[in-house]
Amino acid sequence: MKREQEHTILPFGPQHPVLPEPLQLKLVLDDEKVVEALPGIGYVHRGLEALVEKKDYIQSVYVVERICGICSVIHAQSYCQGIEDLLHLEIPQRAEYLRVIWAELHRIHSHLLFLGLMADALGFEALFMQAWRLRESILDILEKTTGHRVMVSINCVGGTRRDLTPELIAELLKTVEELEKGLSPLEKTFEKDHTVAARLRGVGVLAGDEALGLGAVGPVLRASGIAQDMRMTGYSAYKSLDFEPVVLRDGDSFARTMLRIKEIYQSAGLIRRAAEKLPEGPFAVKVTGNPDGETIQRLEQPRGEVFYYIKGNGTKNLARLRIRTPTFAHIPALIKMLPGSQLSDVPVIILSIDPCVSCTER
Amino acid sequence: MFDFISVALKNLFIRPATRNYPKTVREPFAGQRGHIENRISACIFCGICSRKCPVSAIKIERDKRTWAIDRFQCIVCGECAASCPKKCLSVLPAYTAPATHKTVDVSVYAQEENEAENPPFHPRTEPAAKPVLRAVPSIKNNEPDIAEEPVRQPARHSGT
Repeated sequence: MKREQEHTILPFGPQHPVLPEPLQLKLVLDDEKVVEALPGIGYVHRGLEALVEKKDYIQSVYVVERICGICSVIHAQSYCQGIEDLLHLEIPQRAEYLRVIWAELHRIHSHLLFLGLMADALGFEALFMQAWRLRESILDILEKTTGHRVMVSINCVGGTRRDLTPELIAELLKTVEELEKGLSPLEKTFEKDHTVAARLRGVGVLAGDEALGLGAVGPVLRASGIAQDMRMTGYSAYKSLDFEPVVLRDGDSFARTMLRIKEIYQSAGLIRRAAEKLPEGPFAVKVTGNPDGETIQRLEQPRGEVFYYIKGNGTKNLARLRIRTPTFAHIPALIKMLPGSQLSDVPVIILSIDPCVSCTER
Repeated sequence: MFDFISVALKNLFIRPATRNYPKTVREPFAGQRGHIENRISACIFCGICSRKCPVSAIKIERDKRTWAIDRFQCIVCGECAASCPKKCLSVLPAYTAPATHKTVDVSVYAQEENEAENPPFHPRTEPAAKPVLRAVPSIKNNEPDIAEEPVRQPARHSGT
């Protein structure tokens, strides 16, 4: 008589040392191999979409910014762009370029955070510390230019709240240059180190058509061979910055990690071009009136495409704000990637999509 | 394999990336937003800062002339300072010191402190002459009333 195969159900999360935020995955295991993964989300739900309906539309910039600490300025940029669209407000070109500079700085520090966490998931703590040490230089330049390290509050409806003086621009460019120099040995380690390759290559493969069908966005999609990046649509100042997306073919965790390293270099180049082309003029316009109507904004966050739907009804409170963040779009892709992998590869696969659960569950 | 070893060896000989906080504290950067201060002598308790605050950290009691801020609720966004009509609020670079209990910082408008800066308005020295109230003449005569001082008269209907 054949004994029926018994599967173990292992709860991965919500608390797990490798996860930056609580996320539950019930893993159905057959010995050490994952058969199925059942997600459970909602541990960081704060009801921020409802809070925005209670505050007026100027105060809501601060609420929206605090949805996530790492993609913070791009959330604020999406919201401000949406409100400016509803108010039919055109912001000065200098503000558009300044917003791009700060957005790309955030992309760099987000990818460095990811690299550190990925190295930590592999157990390579020294590499984790080096990546975060580089990240500190970005946080310092953010503090010098905007006033805060993480939730910078630099975007406002109508433009930006502060300007960049030539001295600050020179300091910013010097920081970016030193960052590129400091990143080079880390890039070589990720690329060539034997242990890193053994843990990342061939792990969590997602084919291109599967990724597209499951709705993956951002680096997960680009690492599977599909060239899709919201910055290609040319919103804000990206239309004049010669933007080309970085694409890799393999679709495994190694490709996703290397893609983000290449994106750091790409962002450094974008910051340099934006600083060169920065036009003179005011950096904000005065805002009057109340938003009325509906708008959709799609921007590229470090983790992928973020989708904002804003509805105003002519009062100073918005009628509805709905945000679809990239990590939410990656949960189906994650559920597809996990079956067939070993239990010890599960943390690496989850981290390779760069989960930001605070964004997912505002 | 040797790429990281070169980084590790270099790190043995250079000084550490961390500072010995709290013994050594970094000087705040110039444009840093650390905390909010109110120059209470110039404050008019209009309440605009309290209404603009996204987290309701500022509470004002107009009759008691107090301006209170919960420093641990404050996100140092600077909306209050930007909207203050008297420009008495400012954003300063030093961070709020860590504490074991959350306290609310209350500033009270002090009359004596203020008088040196903004002396109170003094009315003219001799009191104004009091208006003399005369009896209103009867309606039958229908004569206009001539008063030496302005008097308040009830509305009159001409005729009966």
